[in-house]
Amino acid sequence: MRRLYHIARADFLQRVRSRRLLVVLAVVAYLGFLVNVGQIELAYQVTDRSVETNFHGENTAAFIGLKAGLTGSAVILFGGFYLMKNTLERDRLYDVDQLVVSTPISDKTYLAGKWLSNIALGAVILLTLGFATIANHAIHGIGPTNPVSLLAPLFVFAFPVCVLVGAVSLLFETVDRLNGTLGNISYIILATFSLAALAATQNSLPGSIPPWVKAGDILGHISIYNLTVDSLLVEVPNYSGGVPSIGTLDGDQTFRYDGGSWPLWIYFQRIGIMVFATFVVLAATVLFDRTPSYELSNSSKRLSWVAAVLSTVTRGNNVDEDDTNPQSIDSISLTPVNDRDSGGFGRLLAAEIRLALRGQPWWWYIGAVALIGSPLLILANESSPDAAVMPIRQIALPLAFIWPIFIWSGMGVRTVKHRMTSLVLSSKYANKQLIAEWLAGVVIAMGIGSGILVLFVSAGQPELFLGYAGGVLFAPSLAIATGIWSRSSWLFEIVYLMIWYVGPLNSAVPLDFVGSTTESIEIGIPLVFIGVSLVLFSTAALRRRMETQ
Amino acid sequence: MKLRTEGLGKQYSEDTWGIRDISLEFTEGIHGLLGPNGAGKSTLMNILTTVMKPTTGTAYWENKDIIESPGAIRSILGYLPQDFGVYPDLTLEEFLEYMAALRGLNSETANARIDEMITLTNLADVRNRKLKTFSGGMRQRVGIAQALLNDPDLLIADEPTVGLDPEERVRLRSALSNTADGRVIILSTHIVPDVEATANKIAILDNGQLLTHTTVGELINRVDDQVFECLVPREKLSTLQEQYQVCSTVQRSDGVKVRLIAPTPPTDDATKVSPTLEDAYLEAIDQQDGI
Repeated sequence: MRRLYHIARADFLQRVRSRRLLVVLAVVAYLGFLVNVGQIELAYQVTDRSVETNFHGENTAAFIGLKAGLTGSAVILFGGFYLMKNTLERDRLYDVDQLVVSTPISDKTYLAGKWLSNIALGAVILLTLGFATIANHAIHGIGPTNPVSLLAPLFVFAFPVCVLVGAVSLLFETVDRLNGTLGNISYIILATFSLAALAATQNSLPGSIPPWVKAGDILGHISIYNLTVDSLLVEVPNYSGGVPSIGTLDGDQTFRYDGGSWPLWIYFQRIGIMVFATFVVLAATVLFDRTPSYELSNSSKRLSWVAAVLSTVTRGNNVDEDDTNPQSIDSISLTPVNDRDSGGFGRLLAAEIRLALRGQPWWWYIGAVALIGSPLLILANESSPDAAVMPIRQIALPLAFIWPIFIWSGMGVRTVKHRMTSLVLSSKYANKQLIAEWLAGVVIAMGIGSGILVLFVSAGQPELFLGYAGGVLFAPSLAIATGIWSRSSWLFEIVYLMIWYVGPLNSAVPLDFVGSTTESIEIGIPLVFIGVSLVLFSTAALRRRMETQ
Repeated sequence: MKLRTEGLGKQYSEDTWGIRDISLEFTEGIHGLLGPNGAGKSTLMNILTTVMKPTTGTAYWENKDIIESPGAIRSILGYLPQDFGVYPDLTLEEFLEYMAALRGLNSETANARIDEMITLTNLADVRNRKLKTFSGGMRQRVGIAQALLNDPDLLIADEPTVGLDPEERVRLRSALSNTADGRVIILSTHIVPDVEATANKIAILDNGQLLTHTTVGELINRVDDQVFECLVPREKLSTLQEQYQVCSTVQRSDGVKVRLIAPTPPTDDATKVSPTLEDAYLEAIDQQDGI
């Protein structure tokens, strides 16, 4: 237990002393403010003869507590993963893993300590949200500010989510393939799908919701529905059912929820989530490989083996560096360098493109080729290019602007990640390097979307070029700006994935920066994102300028 | 060619200074920068390479203020940081091509210099291997190769021999000595023999302050007639360590052979020996600690 405590404590202290956490807590506190003063609403959307009316709960302590609980759950589910998923990576980065591997600490103890640290981090976030909730209710709320009513839902609903997300993030870190951008994308898809069961609650009152749907209610949404629906039915007796919505919902119709006893199944359901999390951690201990980071991965080992065999075949066994006699220093004549200002931006750009494209898994290259080739194949087989445009806009266009996320994720952070910062910043072209890095991201996006562009031009719809330009410019600009300021790729990945998921994939016009919908092109949404892109790139350039001056 | 600093200081927190009031002049040749861990060597290096801004003072390259105009030094600089990385998925040749582009070399010169640097650092057999397969010593040689790539007028190397085997260390020393003409080389290390073998002048830092900047000969002369060797029983060793600066000890069957610095012979059978740079360095540090 003592070892467990110290692993968790050391990891937790390292986390709470970072400035990044302060920013996160500030954002969470602001969310708490929004929840309490009414910008983020939990409201029932009641439809009567095609007219939709939002029924808000009055800001009693009991209702604000429920809203805070649901908000906390959502923040941890979608944001907590990206905050927690660095507990093993940090040890690898600072070579602590090499020390750990030589100690008698078992894998289970080590991972359990890391899990506890993840949970503690989540608890700090919830405490911040709780404090903000109490303070804001005291100022803006209705009725007495009862701390128990305000905080209990936060910990009943959101704390089990901390426990679960802490376990899942640990599992993702222990699986080589999930410990990167692929894992980050997979998680957001997984988290989104975990909410799919809520669809089964439409037009159902709590009593008729199947138990399996209740069991899978990670956020606690159905529980809150169960607790508040009776208060709504006082105002809307003919309400047909459905969980309350959360968001910026207008309207001045209200119902009043003053709390009361909670059914036992809610507690059991939340405990069930924590038990499931324990199994996730046990799975992580099975998959965990405590070999230090300098060891090659299995795929790298295979590649090295193939390279070694090929070298042996072509050159015999003389592959070791020390087998040859080095040329004498005195016999080496060195070419004098007289011109150290030869521009060479093109070579720098080519080098950045090469750097960006290297090191991806094999399936990424196949996917990229498929995205380039499929529109051209469709174009070749369709009698009319116009017929091919719509499916390509709706399917291939969003895909073409998510696939390069594996490349974009490294932008702005690659020099830090590979400890190249001193070399780059002390070089003559430190500022041009940033431009080249950004352009490399743009060029790769253009390349992967090139088949789509050819299709659009062939179909005589050049206006669609606007969406293509929006996609090509926005992602690299967001990546390099968030990367260079935050020194990590998680911020870009979560922000971009959210925008991409809501906008291009789900056709929400205000965020459809690639023009997958006709309406977004008509009102110039991609144009707005092109402007935002230029602003983002300017902030990245400003940061580099600060670094080099 | 001349690099000059005036009152350079770097304050990390209210009561923590990395370096303080450093005024130095580095002319053509190899300058060893010696000091114990935490002396401020890397901080000084980072400021001289424009990676870090000083809190006080400034530095000049050929009378151009490099703090105001960092571009003045970046074009002629070769830099090997103490803690540097490489892009693991690039081959050695590709990595050097990237660095050549960053350093502003044209492609013809870059190609020639890359070939030469690969030969110089004895990495010709692995030029097409990805850097992630390189050992620590090989990576260190990659760092040396990139630092010399642009034929720099000013070469700053922070602990360049760390991780190298003895043979490669000797090779690097020879390379530095052979290329020292017509450029300023600043070699930071705590390995005294590296400096003794290559440097013309030595600057010693301790606790962020400059103790001395002088020639190797002059520094050694400071302890002339003060270095003794004697054989003492093991139980007397701690007494000697309290009284004198002990430079080295060798365990023998009949006692401990001690090399130390003292104004007069410490024992009746002590013999005077020729001082080395290490003796002089330890004495300089000891005097500073005693202040």
